[in-house]
Amino acid sequence: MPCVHYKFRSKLSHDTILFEGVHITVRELKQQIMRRERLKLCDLKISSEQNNEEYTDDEALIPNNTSVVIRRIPAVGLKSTNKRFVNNRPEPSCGSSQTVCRKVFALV
Amino acid sequence: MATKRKADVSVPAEESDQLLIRPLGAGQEVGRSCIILEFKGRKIMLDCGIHPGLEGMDALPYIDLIDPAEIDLLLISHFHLDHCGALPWFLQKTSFKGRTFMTHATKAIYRWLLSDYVKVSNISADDMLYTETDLEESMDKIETINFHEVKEVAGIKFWCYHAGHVLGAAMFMIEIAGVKLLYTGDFSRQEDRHLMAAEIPSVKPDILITESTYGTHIHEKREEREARFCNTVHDIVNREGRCLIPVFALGRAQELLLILDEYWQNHPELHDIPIYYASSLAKKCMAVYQTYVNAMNDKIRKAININNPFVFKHISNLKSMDHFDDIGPSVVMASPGMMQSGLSRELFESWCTDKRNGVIIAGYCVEGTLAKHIMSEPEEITTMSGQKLPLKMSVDYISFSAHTDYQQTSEFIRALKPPHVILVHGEQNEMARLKAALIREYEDNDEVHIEVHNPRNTEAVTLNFRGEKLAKVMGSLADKKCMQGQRVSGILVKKNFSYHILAPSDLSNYTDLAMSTVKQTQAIPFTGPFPLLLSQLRHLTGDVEEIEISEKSTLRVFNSITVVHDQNMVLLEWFANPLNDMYADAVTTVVLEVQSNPKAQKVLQPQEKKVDVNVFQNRLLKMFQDMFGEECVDFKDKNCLAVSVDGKTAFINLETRTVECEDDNSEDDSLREMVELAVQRLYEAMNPVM
Repeated sequence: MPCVHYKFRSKLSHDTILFEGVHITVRELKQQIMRRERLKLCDLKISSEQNNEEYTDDEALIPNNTSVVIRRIPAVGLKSTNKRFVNNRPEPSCGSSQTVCRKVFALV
Repeated sequence: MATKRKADVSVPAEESDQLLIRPLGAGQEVGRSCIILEFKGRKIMLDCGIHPGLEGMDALPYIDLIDPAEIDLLLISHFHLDHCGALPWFLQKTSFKGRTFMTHATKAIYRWLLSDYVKVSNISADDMLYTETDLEESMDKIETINFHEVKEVAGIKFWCYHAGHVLGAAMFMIEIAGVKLLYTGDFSRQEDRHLMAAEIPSVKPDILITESTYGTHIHEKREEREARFCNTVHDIVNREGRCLIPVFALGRAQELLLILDEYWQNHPELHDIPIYYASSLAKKCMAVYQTYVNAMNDKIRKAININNPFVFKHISNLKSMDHFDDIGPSVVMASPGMMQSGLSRELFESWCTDKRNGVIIAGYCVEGTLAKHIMSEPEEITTMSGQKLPLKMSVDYISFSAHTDYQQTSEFIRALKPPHVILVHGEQNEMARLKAALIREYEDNDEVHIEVHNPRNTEAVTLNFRGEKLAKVMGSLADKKCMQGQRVSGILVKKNFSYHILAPSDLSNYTDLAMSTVKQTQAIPFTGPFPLLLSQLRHLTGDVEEIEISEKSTLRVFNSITVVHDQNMVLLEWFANPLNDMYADAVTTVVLEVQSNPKAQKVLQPQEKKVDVNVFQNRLLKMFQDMFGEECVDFKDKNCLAVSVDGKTAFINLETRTVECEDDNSEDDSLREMVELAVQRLYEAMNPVM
């Protein structure tokens, strides 16, 4: 079964992704790795392990048995904070006014 | 970012003036604090936390942007998860091999807090970044530091100040090549019941990296906040409700326990209502708290001697739900603080539908957590199992999270006046507001210039620091007072970032270095006659001495090269230095030339240096007898030869070869000149120029 070996730059160990066919595209590899590592909120940069060249084209093909180095980077376009829950906070004022209130509202 | 960041200039990192600060986490967010500092080839990581609102690898800072093996030093400010939650992973699962430091209290609490975290995380084992074993094994790699103790690692000097906030929290001051940077971690300038306020360092930093959690907000007064808290709890139990206070087992919980215990003490009507401090680690945690009293404020330290305030009168420990009889109103403090899972989440889910109950959020909540969500008063919430429940219980937010507010931050900055301020650990908008407010505060100030930066994750702030290089002259070179324009020469010794100039003889006094001499020996095969070599060397230089060493013919050439004639070889010895090496080369060449020239070896005629005086005299006599006749020439005495021609006599002094005439007749000097010339010519013919 054709495969690609990957390693996160900061980690010590390699892992393997199996795929069908002769090559795998960079985009598919990214998706598979993100699924396998349960990553949701970041982007990946994939570079070749031999010469450290980055695969910038998402449609580029990676042949069988290649080893790659992965870097987790902030997702482009998404805000870095998690938006799972909705926030309705009124804008707090700045300066010396105090924000005292018994009930819940925004970040005090 | 894909390849290692190489400086475009040809300056090596150690000499470069560029200082880089890059947040890998807590850049325009709260959570996973991790800031990289690079200067003079040194790399430091400040904090290594996880994001409490995210799971799995997503919760980690963007460590992939650096090479863990290159980090020299890792400093942890305090034990909150968002500052040290990723430490076991970083220490056990990456190539990091630098040194890690934290205060004693932080290390002790780190052990149990993270242990609690690992236990209550309800994610599957695959998702866990590390296990209890990893945590245990990481303990050996962590070193401790006392407050105000100066340590030095790889040329980096650092020490820490009290930061308030939680027990053991520190602000780290780092000094590299004279440039000082202060990292506050999380801090509070307000004293509370058991912690002191953050200290203002006596040393002013060039760069300040500060938290901006509360941005431009101003906290309510401490007494008001405590009163509000106690009143809310009182109201909830008065209406027969249960009061839930989700907090992590260690940290602000201790402050709340002190407040509640005192309130209960003052309100006898509440003595029947139990207060529970629910944590499986409660006992262990409290033991740690009682050990590190030295890190607390004076008030508590005095109180401990009389009556331990941490031995509570009205609060009992609760190990788990099984031990809990839920009858009647009660107050329960349970972990975790943001209710992602664990006991506080369980209790919340079982109480949220009753409007008599109430939950008090007593700390800062990170985006993405349930605690943060309920602050917006939703109609219903989703349980851990996916079920939807209506939210009827009251939700109050009274923050005891002991972070600095705008007043405290601006006072802190005013006291230190750092030329550069880097904001981290704050939501994007809060941080932007704080940045604007700080800039506004100093924009009309001509004397004080402060640049404020708020980098995003992975974005670097590059600053330039041109350091002055100072070299201290020590030892004998410093004996005399020096004047402007005077030249000083010596050896420049560099240790980390300090320079000294020393005379070579002082080296062993001030450093581990010592002057030494190198003796060189060269053996050259030589089968020719030694006297020939001697004469050839005399051609080379007049400075050839014959000396006697243990019966072997020995010469000393140039007063530094010793030439010994041994069996079939010649041994050269000298003390190595550029001049002597050159002399040795010359002598070696002569030896090799003699050795390789077979004709020269056969010729053994030693040349007479001096002409035999007798021979010279005889020859002189013969010459003049030939010139003027035998009867004209006669020896006057031993040193004088007389030549008489036509009545005139010339006296030749044989030693000096000068000629004088008997009569001092200046008219006819021709005889004298002729004789003198003849003597000179003969002498030169017999004694050729060497």
